[in-house]
Amino acid sequence: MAYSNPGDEELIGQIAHEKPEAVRALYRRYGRLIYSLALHIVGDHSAAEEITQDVFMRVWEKAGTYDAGKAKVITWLSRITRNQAIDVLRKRTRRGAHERETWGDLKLVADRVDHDPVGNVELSSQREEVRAAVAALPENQQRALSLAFFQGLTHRQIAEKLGEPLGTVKTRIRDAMQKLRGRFAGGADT
Amino acid sequence: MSDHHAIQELLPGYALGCLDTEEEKAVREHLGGCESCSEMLVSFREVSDRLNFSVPMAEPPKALEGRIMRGIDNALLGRRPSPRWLPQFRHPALAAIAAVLIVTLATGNLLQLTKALPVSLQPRSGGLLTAMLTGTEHATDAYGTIVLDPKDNKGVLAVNGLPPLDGTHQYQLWLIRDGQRRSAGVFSVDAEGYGALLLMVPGDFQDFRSFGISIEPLGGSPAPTGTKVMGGVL
Repeated sequence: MAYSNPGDEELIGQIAHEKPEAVRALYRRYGRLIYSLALHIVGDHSAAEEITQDVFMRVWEKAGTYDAGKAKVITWLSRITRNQAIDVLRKRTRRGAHERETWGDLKLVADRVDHDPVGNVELSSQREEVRAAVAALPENQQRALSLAFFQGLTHRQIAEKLGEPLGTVKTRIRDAMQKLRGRFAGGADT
Repeated sequence: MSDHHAIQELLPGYALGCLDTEEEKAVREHLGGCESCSEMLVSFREVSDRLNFSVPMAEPPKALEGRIMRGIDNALLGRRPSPRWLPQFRHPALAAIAAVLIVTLATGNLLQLTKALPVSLQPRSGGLLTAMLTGTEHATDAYGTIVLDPKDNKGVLAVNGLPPLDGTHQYQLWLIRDGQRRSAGVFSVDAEGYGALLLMVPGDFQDFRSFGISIEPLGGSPAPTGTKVMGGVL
């Protein structure tokens, strides 16, 4: 039995041993972030709910395969979420129905502290760092990066969408990623 | 394309998944034999991972947690989805008890509980035993029932009206006798305050005359440490 606040990896270990309450604990810790990421990509609440359910079912099924050496738990969860959400987006027959070219409001607003104060303070701090870094990018780099990251578009598709030369788009995305890499270097890993 | 510098230029796009098929293939083939590019890719993947945290936060619907947990319960038991008020117990007799119990609790008709149970399930000498639980001053809206079968030391607990806890705590059921407390399991409640627990009690459980529920760390405690929220007598 656990007598103290279990870490993320311990929760995954409990899930791998079929402890449903560990899924609940993990959801209460990261469900809001997972749902928010899914919603930002697919743009509708119903699909975001389904994706969130699918993510936690995937965690239930694959917890035994999680490798702490490859990625932190939240990184693993968010990768699953983004991949599933991009898949949903690509399968939609009505392409372009959800147009998100920016990150939205990048003003730094403190997150509400939820059920897990310790975990969410750390997460909020990471979120503030990332949003500040993205806000510091030139707008045209933000736009190109957003289309690549949140809509899963290729360089060529982004160039067509923006009416820009392919080389320009490649340069913008490369420069944006290099700036972000430089800014994060030496900071806390996800 | 095998130029090392050209491949390095493509690594950010590769980390984001926005290369075309031909470029992706070229990068993948190059990475197989280039440690420096593989290490550089790791650093760009870390950037991509952090971008997941950059989205505006939105509140998921309250019911989503319950739906996820019911999906997990059904996966655990290999059953198709069923009404949320029916606990998923393998033992058919206990499932029947629980079904009656939960319907009775849902209607708030504790006084009719005994009448609502089929005659075969009503408490009698040598038969099922029941205990009604009520909330303490810390959970005045809570109520619940325990039904136990002394023949095989199994039972069910169903509660309603307990406040949901944070992810680091659970409710724990205790058997109480002469100051001694023995754990009978831990459970959580959904957003509406409903919770259920399949009980496997010790053989001498009938010597424990009363029950209590307290708030404990996730996974339970060897002895009560937290606030007592419910109590009842067998």
